Amino acid sequence: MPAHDPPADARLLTAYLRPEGRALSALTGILVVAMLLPLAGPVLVGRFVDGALHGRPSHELALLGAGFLVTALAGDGLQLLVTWLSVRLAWRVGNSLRLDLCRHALGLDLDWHGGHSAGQLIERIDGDIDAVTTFSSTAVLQLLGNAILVLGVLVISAFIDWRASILIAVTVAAAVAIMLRLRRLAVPFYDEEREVQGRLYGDVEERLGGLEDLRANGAGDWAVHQLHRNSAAWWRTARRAALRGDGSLSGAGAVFAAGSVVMLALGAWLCRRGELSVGSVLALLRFSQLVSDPLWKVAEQLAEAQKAVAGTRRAARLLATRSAIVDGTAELAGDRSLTAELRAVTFGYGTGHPVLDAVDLVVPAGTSLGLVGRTGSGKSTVGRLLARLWDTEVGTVLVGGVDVRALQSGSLRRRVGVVTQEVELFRASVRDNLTVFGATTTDDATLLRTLEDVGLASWTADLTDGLDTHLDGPGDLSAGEAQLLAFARVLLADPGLVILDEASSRLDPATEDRLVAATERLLRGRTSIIIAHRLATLDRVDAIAVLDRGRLVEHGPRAALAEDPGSRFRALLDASRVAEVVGQ
Amino acid sequence: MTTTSIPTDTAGAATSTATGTASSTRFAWRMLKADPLAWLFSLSMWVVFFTMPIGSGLLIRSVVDRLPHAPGASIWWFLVALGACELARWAILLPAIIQWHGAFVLWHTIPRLNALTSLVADPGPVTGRLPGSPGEAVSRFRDDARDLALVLDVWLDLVAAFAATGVGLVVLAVVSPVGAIAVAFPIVIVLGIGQSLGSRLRRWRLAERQATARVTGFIGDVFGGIAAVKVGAAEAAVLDRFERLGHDRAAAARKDQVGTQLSQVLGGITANAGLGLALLLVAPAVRRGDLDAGDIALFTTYATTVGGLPRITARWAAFQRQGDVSAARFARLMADGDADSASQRVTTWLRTGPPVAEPIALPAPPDRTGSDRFHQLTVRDLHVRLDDGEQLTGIDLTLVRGELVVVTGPVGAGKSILVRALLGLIPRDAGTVTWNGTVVDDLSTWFVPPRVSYLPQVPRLFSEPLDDTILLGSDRSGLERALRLACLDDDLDEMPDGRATLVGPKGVRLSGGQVQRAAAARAFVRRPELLVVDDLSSALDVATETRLWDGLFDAAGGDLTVLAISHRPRVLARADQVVELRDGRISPP
Repeated sequence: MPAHDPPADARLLTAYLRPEGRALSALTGILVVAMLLPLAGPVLVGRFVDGALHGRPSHELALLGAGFLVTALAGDGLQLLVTWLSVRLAWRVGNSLRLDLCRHALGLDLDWHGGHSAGQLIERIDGDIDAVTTFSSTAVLQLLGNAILVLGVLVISAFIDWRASILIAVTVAAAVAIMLRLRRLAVPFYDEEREVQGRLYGDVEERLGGLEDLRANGAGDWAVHQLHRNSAAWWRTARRAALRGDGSLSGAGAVFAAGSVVMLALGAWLCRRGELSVGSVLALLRFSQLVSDPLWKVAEQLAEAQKAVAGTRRAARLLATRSAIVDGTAELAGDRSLTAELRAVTFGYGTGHPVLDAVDLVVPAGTSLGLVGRTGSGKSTVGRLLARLWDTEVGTVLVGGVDVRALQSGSLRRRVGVVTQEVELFRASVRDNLTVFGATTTDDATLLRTLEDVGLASWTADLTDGLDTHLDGPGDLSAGEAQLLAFARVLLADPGLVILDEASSRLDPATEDRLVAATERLLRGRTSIIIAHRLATLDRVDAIAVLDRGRLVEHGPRAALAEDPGSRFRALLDASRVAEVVGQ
Repeated sequence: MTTTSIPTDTAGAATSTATGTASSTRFAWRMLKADPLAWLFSLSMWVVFFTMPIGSGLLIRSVVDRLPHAPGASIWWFLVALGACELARWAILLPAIIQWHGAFVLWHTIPRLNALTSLVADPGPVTGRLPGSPGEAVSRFRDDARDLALVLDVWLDLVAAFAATGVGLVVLAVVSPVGAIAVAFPIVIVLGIGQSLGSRLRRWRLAERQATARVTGFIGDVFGGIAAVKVGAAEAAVLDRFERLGHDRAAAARKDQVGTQLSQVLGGITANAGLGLALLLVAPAVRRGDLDAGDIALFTTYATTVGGLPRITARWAAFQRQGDVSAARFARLMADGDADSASQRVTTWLRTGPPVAEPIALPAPPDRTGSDRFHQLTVRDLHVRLDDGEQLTGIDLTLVRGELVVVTGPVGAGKSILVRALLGLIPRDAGTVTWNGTVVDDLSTWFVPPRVSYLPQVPRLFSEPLDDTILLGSDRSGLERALRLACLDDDLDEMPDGRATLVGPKGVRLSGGQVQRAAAARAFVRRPELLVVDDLSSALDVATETRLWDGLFDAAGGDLTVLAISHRPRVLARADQVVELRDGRISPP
């Protein structure tokens, strides 16, 4: 990932627009013509009126009418062209911004992700940027077109009467000043509104994801009540933001209206002094209205613009968020097996309560370690540290003899495979689920063989579209099958260190035994750490480590510990054997 | 029970339901009726705002008419009146817009509340009603709700513009009937073009929506499973896919946006054409002196007002068609598949916020009577088919109060499907379920607390303080007991804020075992008559698990009925009845 300084706020958009310079200038050129052509209209209408008053022949009047028609239509046609070009541009810019946001969010640490739901990220990566693209595809052009229009009006009206031109300039300046002043006041309120919406959608996403949990526990009312609360919060913030945001609109509109009334008064005065024709008064009046007409178009986009500013700000904030895990540069050697080592590691998930407490642990390359201890004793954390999903505050974590902090995370994680109890399946094809969207490149034969190896042969045979079958949720495979799939996923990556974190806990004993047999073959020659509650799963590991409340209390060869009547492992074995015997 | 099978192909379903019916109009109309005052208040302001330029135009005409000749001072009074009229117009805009924003939120909220209420509470399984991923589902609540709110919004513009245009055209017709016809003519043309453009616009919109849903669904999926992405070092591959999806979506969105813009620009073109046409046609009348400068001024000012109508009409047509798609998609979220249920009147509490929710108080088990008190549950000849074939065949099962019934069997045998079908979470094709001898028709609303609590195999916790995600609105009184029974009390001591600790999405801050035990506490706190447990112990070590089951049975004093899925010998040993499933059938002992 390129480590460039993220530009803040509005500078962000400029940074993304810069590469589009040529497209932007072409667009601007067309826009200038499209905006200036219709300005002939009021002049032609003025001529029409003067011609009528002075008794010009009707074919001359008809010609002026036709001229009006042609210039207006040509202007509209060009407008459409501008829209087409600008929409293309906006999507290019928006998508590259989305891509960067997605890339950045992917790089953030799990601690950060713990505080941000997937729904929130949809808002950040897509919703906010939607506002930004809507803004840049329409509102920016409306603003720019407006500026061109105003300039054109000022020049043409100056030809009619310089005082009128000044009056229009003053009106526009006053209206714009009011708008900008109030707009700036409104931004924090729009920000607040977007935050509230983000919470609303984040909550909805979670509730919809946990619908069965809600229903079966009779918690529907609770979820609905929260939607009520979030909606009420949105109502309040939306109105609060409207007061500021649309107050500017109302103020500017009033200024423009006053400007055109004064223009009419000025025209009347000049006309009575014989300095202006009636047609020119009409043209000037039309011009003074013309500069306010597009204001409406801008105003329609103004809410979008303010949302876009707020969205851009949040995008900049997201891009400025630094991952607690800073990527190293070293590459991990391609050895078949890797040593895993924890040196004096003390670690807590930022809460102050250490989950691991001064742990020293070495798993030599090519050996297997069984990690046992009651829930919450820190077993899973060992795996997470080795895969560098978290960084330890105290001590060092080494894989293949290298401090994980020195390693490029991709290089590390390609060689460290983790299968957890929480299987993360994607709503994508079986192939995508196995290769994690193509992160592992393998041919279909290998994929099928691996599925067979983990015991999913019959499941695979039932797939309607083979590897292209779309997995669409829990209906398509049971939790146990999902675990086998996750296991296949890891094996495909050919890791040098495999961590099985309760990887077989959702399997029935028969299937588990088959899997253990298969895995033994597949893990041969690789380093492995196996975390399991069922001690039978650990029958064939080389060594055992026992964790108790974050401390490594026992570590030794499995056989020796199992023999030693005083060892904790032996005690655990005995306890589970009693349980199993009672069970038979 | 009859379950209509719902096509899983979202695209097909949306199209087939959306065609032919003006459902977004009906949808919006029903929302309007839900709170007519909000809409009518906005409308009255809008009508005033739109029609005031008609008065201004007449005042301008009076001024212009008096410009060349009439030397009197009378024109200044007209100018004062004109100024007052214009300023008043802008002064009413601000309150109108603030009120409108509230109404706009209301129109979003009505279908959202109806859909969520139906999803969490209406009878029948929810599978098939929700789109694939929660991320896609969010786009229903976000984008589709917005499209429908916009229909009501565009009606405001439409009615107000029609009022202004009607008055304007009448005034113009009095001045020059030919000119009035010339100005009105383009509206007819635009409506014709809009009609022929309509189906294409709708197709483009649908394609854009699907492409967007794929993108949001992908983001939701990827960040929902961020750990797997990281562990798999799949960041680059994910970005690749994201870029490709974004590319496809941009292509669809370009068509959609340019199409929408086209219909709007057409409106603009015809407005200008109207004025040009009028000038051409009235030229002889002007030449004859039938029309004077003031009348031409009237035409130019009214052209803007009347010219707005085609634009708004085009927008209305586009929004209405886009709303049709959204209304159909909302209908699919509802239990009865009817858009009317999504648009029905509902109490919203927007102004004040909802009243503090009364905690759900469940009577203690000994006090329960009638159907709330459990004696016996029987399942007869249960069949379940899902998309990919027969999942369960002819399941018979009987549970009596105080029993522990354990379902066991190999992976994919249908164990979870059995309990989920029993709870009504997925549809069954055949089978009778009786509770205390009474046949239960809708399982999903029957098998809820205080009768039943359910602990899923992969529980979902919500991003809330731990106690809230356990209670989910129920009474706090049983919390201590539930936490103790779920063996969570030790863990709580180690959490930074104890039971008020914020649990991250998907419980990232909790270990797998803690998530499962929190979900167990969630089921226990309801003190159900029948506890349904799908593989409680998969994340627990033997000691914790033993402690948990022992505690549970001790606390119940023999009066606990459990239907559990488990492989643990320890649990099987306790069982009064073991049901072994194999390939969706009960295998004989």
